[in-house]
Amino acid sequence: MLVLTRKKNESIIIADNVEITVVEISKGHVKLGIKAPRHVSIHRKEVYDAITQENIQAAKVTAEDIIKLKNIFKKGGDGK
Amino acid sequence: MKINTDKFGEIEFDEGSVIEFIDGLLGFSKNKKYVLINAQEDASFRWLQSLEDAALAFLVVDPAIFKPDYDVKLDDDIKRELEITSRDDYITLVILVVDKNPLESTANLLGPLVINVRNKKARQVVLTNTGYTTRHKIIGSGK
Repeated sequence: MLVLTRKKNESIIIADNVEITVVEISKGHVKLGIKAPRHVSIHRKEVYDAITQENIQAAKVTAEDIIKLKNIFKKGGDGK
Repeated sequence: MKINTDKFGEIEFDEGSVIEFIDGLLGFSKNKKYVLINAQEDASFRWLQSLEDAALAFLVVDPAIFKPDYDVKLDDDIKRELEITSRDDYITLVILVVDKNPLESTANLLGPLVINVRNKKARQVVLTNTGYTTRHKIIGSGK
């Protein structure tokens, strides 16, 4: 990991078109401003990781699993 | 068009029905093209089958069947990217994880799939400040 020290209002440029600026520094947290092309997605890491993990779990679901699930919904499973 | 799939064998589909996820799904960024397949005769559960990986398919469902008040607000960037101008332009699906105990199955409400039904462009959207989770129990939670 490249570690750089920045002061408030200083920036970092990545790959010519992503710019990260330190907008505000407070006790315990830093506010970052990010400029990037629209097609570049930006996520808080913990959210990105949670969704990725869930996607990976979901990719393991089998055709048999769905049979179990449909039976429950047919019984009028109380999810509505 | 025909492709081979692990779960369904060879399937046939219309080229116009191919859905393109601009950045793929989170964690699966290299797989961008999918088709929706009905799971047996019941169209409320469907599979999102990758065209680029025969083994990759996600069980998806319309969230309204278990959470009618689920509301996905799209920001302007997403609307622009997917060319969405009205509510009729798109559908929302959520990915399911079926647990060993099917009563514990969950839906990812934090990262729904938004698909423009006209041009088939899609994205897995990350919702912020909504309180939705990646593991919403779909059965027995009441709401």
